[in-house]
Amino acid sequence: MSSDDPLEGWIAARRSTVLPPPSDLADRVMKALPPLPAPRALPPTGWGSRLETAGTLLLFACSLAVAVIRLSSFVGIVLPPPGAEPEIAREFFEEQPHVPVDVT
Amino acid sequence: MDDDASLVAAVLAGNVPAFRELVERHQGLVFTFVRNLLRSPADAEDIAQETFLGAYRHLATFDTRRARFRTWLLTIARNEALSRLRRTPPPTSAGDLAEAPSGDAEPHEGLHHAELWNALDEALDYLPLEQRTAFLLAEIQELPHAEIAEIESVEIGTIKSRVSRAKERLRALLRAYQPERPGHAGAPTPADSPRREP
Repeated sequence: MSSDDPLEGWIAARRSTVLPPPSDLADRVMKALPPLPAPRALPPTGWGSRLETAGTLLLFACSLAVAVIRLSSFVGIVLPPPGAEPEIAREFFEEQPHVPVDVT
Repeated sequence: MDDDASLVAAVLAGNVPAFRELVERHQGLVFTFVRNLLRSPADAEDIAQETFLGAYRHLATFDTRRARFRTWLLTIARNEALSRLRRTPPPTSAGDLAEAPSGDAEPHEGLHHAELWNALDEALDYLPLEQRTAFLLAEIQELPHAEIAEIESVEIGTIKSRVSRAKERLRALLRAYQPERPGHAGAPTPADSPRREP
Protein backbone atom coordinates (compact mmCIF):
# COMPACT_ATOMS: atom_id res chain seq x y z
CA MET A 1 0.00 0.00 0.00
CA SER A 2 2.60 2.50 1.06
CA SER A 3 4.87 1.73 -1.86
CA ASP A 4 2.08 2.58 -4.30
CA ASP A 5 0.58 5.46 -2.42
CA PRO A 6 3.07 8.18 -1.46
CA LEU A 7 0.60 9.65 1.00
CA GLU A 8 0.30 6.37 2.89
CA GLY A 9 4.09 6.06 2.80
CA TRP A 10 4.44 9.49 4.33
CA ILE A 11 1.84 8.71 6.97
CA ALA A 12 3.65 5.49 7.88
CA ALA A 13 6.94 7.36 8.09
CA ARG A 14 5.44 10.05 10.29
CA ARG A 15 3.91 7.44 12.58
CA SER A 16 7.27 5.86 13.15
CA THR A 17 9.10 9.13 13.57
CA VAL A 18 9.78 9.71 17.20
CA LEU A 19 9.50 13.32 18.27
CA PRO A 20 10.95 13.20 21.75
CA PRO A 21 9.90 15.96 24.09
CA PRO A 22 12.64 18.06 25.62
CA SER A 23 14.32 16.13 28.40
CA ASP A 24 13.68 18.91 30.91
CA LEU A 25 10.00 19.41 30.11
CA ALA A 26 8.82 17.80 33.34
CA ASP A 27 11.31 19.87 35.35
CA ARG A 28 10.16 23.06 33.69
CA VAL A 29 6.53 22.23 34.32
CA MET A 30 7.14 21.38 37.96
CA LYS A 31 9.09 24.59 38.51
CA ALA A 32 6.37 26.69 36.94
CA LEU A 33 3.48 25.15 38.87
CA PRO A 34 1.50 27.77 40.74
CA PRO A 35 1.24 27.24 44.50
CA LEU A 36 -1.65 25.18 45.69
CA PRO A 37 -4.37 26.98 47.64
CA ALA A 38 -3.71 27.03 51.39
CA PRO A 39 -5.16 23.98 53.10
CA ARG A 40 -8.27 24.53 55.17
CA ALA A 41 -7.86 24.99 58.93
CA LEU A 42 -8.35 21.72 60.69
CA PRO A 43 -11.01 21.50 63.43
CA PRO A 44 -9.55 22.09 66.92
CA THR A 45 -9.02 19.03 69.08
CA GLY A 46 -7.33 20.14 72.35
CA TRP A 47 -8.92 20.78 75.78
CA GLY A 48 -8.58 24.52 75.39
CA SER A 49 -10.52 24.47 72.18
CA ARG A 50 -13.20 22.25 73.74
CA LEU A 51 -13.66 24.75 76.55
CA GLU A 52 -13.86 27.49 73.98
CA THR A 53 -16.53 25.57 72.10
CA ALA A 54 -18.50 24.93 75.32
CA GLY A 55 -18.30 28.62 76.23
CA THR A 56 -19.56 29.60 72.84
CA LEU A 57 -22.48 27.19 73.11
CA LEU A 58 -23.34 28.49 76.62
CA LEU A 59 -23.25 32.07 75.43
CA PHE A 60 -25.48 31.15 72.54
CA ALA A 61 -27.99 29.39 74.83
CA CYS A 62 -28.12 32.39 77.20
CA SER A 63 -28.62 34.79 74.32
CA LEU A 64 -31.40 32.61 73.00
CA ALA A 65 -33.15 32.50 76.39
CA VAL A 66 -32.96 36.30 76.77
CA ALA A 67 -34.29 36.76 73.27
CA VAL A 68 -37.26 34.45 73.99
CA ILE A 69 -38.16 36.28 77.21
CA ARG A 70 -37.99 39.69 75.55
CA LEU A 71 -40.06 38.52 72.64
CA SER A 72 -42.71 37.11 75.01
CA SER A 73 -42.95 40.45 76.85
CA PHE A 74 -43.26 42.27 73.59
CA VAL A 75 -46.28 40.28 72.41
CA GLY A 76 -47.99 40.48 75.84
CA ILE A 77 -47.70 36.96 76.96
CA VAL A 78 -47.25 37.04 80.72
CA LEU A 79 -47.17 33.83 82.57
CA PRO A 80 -49.05 34.10 85.91
CA PRO A 81 -47.33 32.75 88.97
CA PRO A 82 -48.62 29.38 90.08
CA GLY A 83 -52.06 29.67 91.85
CA ALA A 84 -52.73 33.29 90.79
CA GLU A 85 -56.02 34.26 89.26
CA PRO A 86 -55.82 34.93 85.55
CA GLU A 87 -56.57 38.68 85.53
CA ILE A 88 -57.01 39.09 81.85
CA ALA A 89 -59.71 36.45 81.70
CA ARG A 90 -61.62 37.93 84.65
CA GLU A 91 -61.57 41.47 83.22
CA PHE A 92 -62.86 40.16 79.97
CA PHE A 93 -65.83 38.33 81.50
CA GLU A 94 -66.70 41.27 83.82
CA GLU A 95 -67.23 43.43 80.74
CA GLN A 96 -69.65 40.89 79.35
CA PRO A 97 -72.70 40.98 81.74
CA HIS A 98 -74.69 38.37 79.80
CA VAL A 99 -71.95 35.91 80.31
CA PRO A 100 -71.87 34.34 83.74
CA VAL A 101 -68.57 35.04 85.38
CA ASP A 102 -67.09 31.76 86.07
CA VAL A 103 -63.45 31.63 85.47
CA THR A 104 -62.62 28.83 87.76
CA MET B 1 -6.07 4.86 33.28
CA ASP B 2 -7.07 4.15 36.83
CA ASP B 3 -3.49 5.03 37.64
CA ASP B 4 -4.05 8.43 36.11
CA ALA B 5 -7.17 8.90 38.18
CA SER B 6 -5.37 7.98 41.39
CA LEU B 7 -2.50 10.31 40.53
CA VAL B 8 -4.97 13.12 39.88
CA ALA B 9 -6.59 12.42 43.23
CA ALA B 10 -3.19 12.45 44.91
CA VAL B 11 -2.31 15.82 43.39
CA LEU B 12 -5.65 17.27 44.42
CA ALA B 13 -5.06 16.01 47.95
CA GLY B 14 -1.88 18.07 48.06
CA ASN B 15 0.72 15.65 46.75
CA VAL B 16 2.10 18.02 44.13
CA PRO B 17 5.11 15.86 43.17
CA ALA B 18 2.65 13.25 41.88
CA PHE B 19 1.96 15.63 39.03
CA ARG B 20 5.45 14.97 37.67
CA GLU B 21 4.48 11.38 37.01
CA LEU B 22 1.45 12.53 35.03
CA VAL B 23 3.69 14.83 32.98
CA GLU B 24 6.28 12.14 32.34
CA ARG B 25 3.60 9.66 31.39
CA HIS B 26 1.91 11.85 28.80
CA GLN B 27 4.55 14.30 27.62
CA GLY B 28 5.47 12.17 24.58
CA LEU B 29 1.89 12.03 23.35
CA VAL B 30 1.26 15.72 23.93
CA PHE B 31 4.54 16.88 22.47
CA THR B 32 4.20 14.74 19.34
CA PHE B 33 0.73 16.11 18.74
CA VAL B 34 1.63 19.77 19.13
CA ARG B 35 4.92 19.32 17.28
CA ASN B 36 3.10 17.85 14.28
CA LEU B 37 0.44 20.51 14.50
CA LEU B 38 2.68 23.55 14.91
CA ARG B 39 5.81 22.18 13.21
CA SER B 40 7.97 24.61 15.13
CA PRO B 41 9.91 22.84 17.88
CA ALA B 42 10.11 25.99 20.01
CA ASP B 43 6.37 26.62 19.74
CA ALA B 44 5.69 22.95 20.47
CA GLU B 45 7.77 23.12 23.65
CA ASP B 46 5.92 26.21 24.80
CA ILE B 47 2.53 24.74 24.08
CA ALA B 48 3.37 21.40 25.69
CA GLN B 49 4.41 23.23 28.83
CA GLU B 50 1.31 25.42 28.75
CA THR B 51 -0.81 22.32 28.33
CA PHE B 52 0.46 20.75 31.52
CA LEU B 53 0.28 23.99 33.45
CA GLY B 54 -3.30 24.48 32.27
CA ALA B 55 -4.12 20.93 33.28
CA TYR B 56 -2.69 21.54 36.73
CA ARG B 57 -4.61 24.76 37.19
CA HIS B 58 -7.89 23.13 36.21
CA LEU B 59 -7.25 19.70 37.65
CA ALA B 60 -10.15 20.04 40.08
CA THR B 61 -12.55 20.29 37.12
CA PHE B 62 -11.36 17.02 35.57
CA ASP B 63 -14.03 14.37 35.95
CA THR B 64 -12.68 10.84 35.70
CA ARG B 65 -16.19 9.55 34.97
CA ARG B 66 -16.53 11.68 31.87
CA ALA B 67 -13.17 11.35 30.14
CA ARG B 68 -9.80 9.69 30.19
CA PHE B 69 -7.00 11.90 31.45
CA ARG B 70 -5.07 11.73 28.17
CA THR B 71 -8.21 12.74 26.23
CA TRP B 72 -8.68 15.71 28.53
CA LEU B 73 -5.00 16.60 28.19
CA LEU B 74 -5.11 16.42 24.39
CA THR B 75 -8.17 18.65 24.42
CA ILE B 76 -6.21 21.27 26.33
CA ALA B 77 -3.23 20.82 24.00
CA ARG B 78 -5.44 21.22 20.96
CA ASN B 79 -7.02 24.41 22.29
CA GLU B 80 -3.67 25.90 23.27
CA ALA B 81 -2.15 25.03 19.90
CA LEU B 82 -5.09 26.39 17.92
CA SER B 83 -4.94 29.65 19.89
CA ARG B 84 -1.28 29.93 18.96
CA LEU B 85 -1.96 29.13 15.31
CA ARG B 86 -4.74 31.71 15.11
CA ARG B 87 -2.36 34.38 16.39
CA THR B 88 0.26 33.62 13.73
CA PRO B 89 -0.20 34.89 10.17
CA PRO B 90 -1.33 32.23 7.70
CA PRO B 91 0.97 31.13 4.91
CA THR B 92 0.58 33.48 2.00
CA SER B 93 0.04 30.98 -0.78
CA ALA B 94 0.23 27.33 -1.56
CA GLY B 95 1.67 28.17 -4.94
CA ASP B 96 5.29 27.52 -4.09
CA LEU B 97 4.37 24.31 -2.44
CA ALA B 98 2.30 23.08 -5.33
CA GLU B 99 4.92 23.95 -7.90
CA ALA B 100 6.16 20.93 -9.70
CA PRO B 101 9.87 20.33 -9.64
CA SER B 102 11.82 22.00 -12.42
CA GLY B 103 11.78 20.61 -15.93
CA ASP B 104 14.81 18.45 -15.47
CA ALA B 105 13.41 16.82 -12.40
CA GLU B 106 13.11 13.12 -12.36
CA PRO B 107 9.75 11.43 -12.55
CA HIS B 108 7.92 10.34 -9.40
CA GLU B 109 9.89 7.16 -8.90
CA GLY B 110 13.06 9.15 -8.82
CA LEU B 111 11.90 11.81 -6.41
CA HIS B 112 13.57 11.66 -3.07
CA HIS B 113 11.19 10.68 -0.38
CA ALA B 114 12.54 13.43 1.78
CA GLU B 115 11.58 16.02 -0.82
CA LEU B 116 8.10 14.63 -1.20
CA TRP B 117 7.57 14.25 2.51
CA ASN B 118 8.81 17.73 3.23
CA ALA B 119 6.22 18.98 0.78
CA LEU B 120 3.55 16.97 2.60
CA ASP B 121 4.74 18.30 5.94
CA GLU B 122 4.34 21.82 4.64
CA ALA B 123 1.01 20.95 3.06
CA LEU B 124 -0.39 20.40 6.53
CA ASP B 125 -0.20 24.15 7.02
CA TYR B 126 -2.74 24.62 4.26
CA LEU B 127 -5.33 22.32 5.71
CA PRO B 128 -8.20 23.89 7.63
CA LEU B 129 -7.39 23.65 11.31
CA GLU B 130 -10.16 21.23 12.18
CA GLN B 131 -9.05 18.90 9.36
CA ARG B 132 -5.45 19.18 10.43
CA THR B 133 -6.08 18.21 14.04
CA ALA B 134 -8.41 15.36 13.10
CA PHE B 135 -5.96 14.05 10.49
CA LEU B 136 -2.96 14.17 12.82
CA LEU B 137 -4.76 12.51 15.69
CA ALA B 138 -6.33 9.81 13.53
CA GLU B 139 -3.63 9.04 11.00
CA ILE B 140 -0.37 9.93 12.67
CA GLN B 141 -1.15 9.30 16.32
CA GLU B 142 -3.68 6.57 15.55
CA LEU B 143 -6.22 7.58 18.16
CA PRO B 144 -9.68 6.05 17.89
CA HIS B 145 -12.21 8.23 16.09
CA ALA B 146 -14.44 8.18 19.16
CA GLU B 147 -11.69 9.71 21.28
CA ILE B 148 -10.92 12.36 18.66
CA ALA B 149 -14.62 13.19 18.52
CA GLU B 150 -14.47 13.78 22.26
CA ILE B 151 -11.43 16.03 21.90
CA GLU B 152 -13.02 18.02 19.10
CA SER B 153 -16.51 17.98 20.65
CA VAL B 154 -18.15 16.73 17.47
CA GLU B 155 -19.77 13.54 16.24
CA ILE B 156 -17.66 10.60 15.10
CA GLY B 157 -19.04 10.97 11.58
CA THR B 158 -17.70 14.51 11.44
CA ILE B 159 -14.25 13.29 12.37
CA LYS B 160 -14.33 10.62 9.65
CA SER B 161 -15.38 13.22 7.16
CA ARG B 162 -12.63 15.64 8.22
CA VAL B 163 -9.95 12.98 8.00
CA SER B 164 -11.18 11.90 4.60
CA ARG B 165 -11.21 15.48 3.31
CA ALA B 166 -7.75 16.11 4.68
CA LYS B 167 -6.43 13.10 2.81
CA GLU B 168 -8.14 14.22 -0.37
CA ARG B 169 -6.48 17.60 -0.08
CA LEU B 170 -3.08 16.10 0.55
CA ARG B 171 -3.50 13.81 -2.44
CA ALA B 172 -4.46 16.81 -4.52
CA LEU B 173 -1.24 18.43 -3.44
CA LEU B 174 0.71 15.37 -4.43
CA ARG B 175 -0.88 15.36 -7.87
CA ALA B 176 0.02 18.99 -8.32
CA TYR B 177 3.51 18.45 -7.00
CA GLN B 178 4.40 15.40 -9.04
CA PRO B 179 4.93 15.53 -12.76
CA GLU B 180 2.47 13.49 -14.75
CA ARG B 181 3.43 9.89 -14.90
CA PRO B 182 2.71 7.65 -17.82
CA GLY B 183 -0.40 5.67 -17.12
CA HIS B 184 -1.47 8.02 -14.32
CA ALA B 185 -4.21 10.50 -14.72
CA GLY B 186 -4.11 13.71 -12.85
CA ALA B 187 -2.06 16.44 -14.45
CA PRO B 188 -1.72 19.28 -12.02
CA THR B 189 -4.48 21.79 -12.15
CA PRO B 190 -4.97 24.94 -10.13
CA ALA B 191 -7.97 23.33 -8.48
CA ASP B 192 -5.74 20.60 -7.13
CA SER B 193 -3.74 22.99 -5.01
CA PRO B 194 -5.00 22.94 -1.50
CA ARG B 195 -5.98 26.26 -0.12
CA ARG B 196 -5.82 27.33 3.43
CA GLU B 197 -9.15 27.94 4.98
CA PRO B 198 -9.67 30.06 8.01
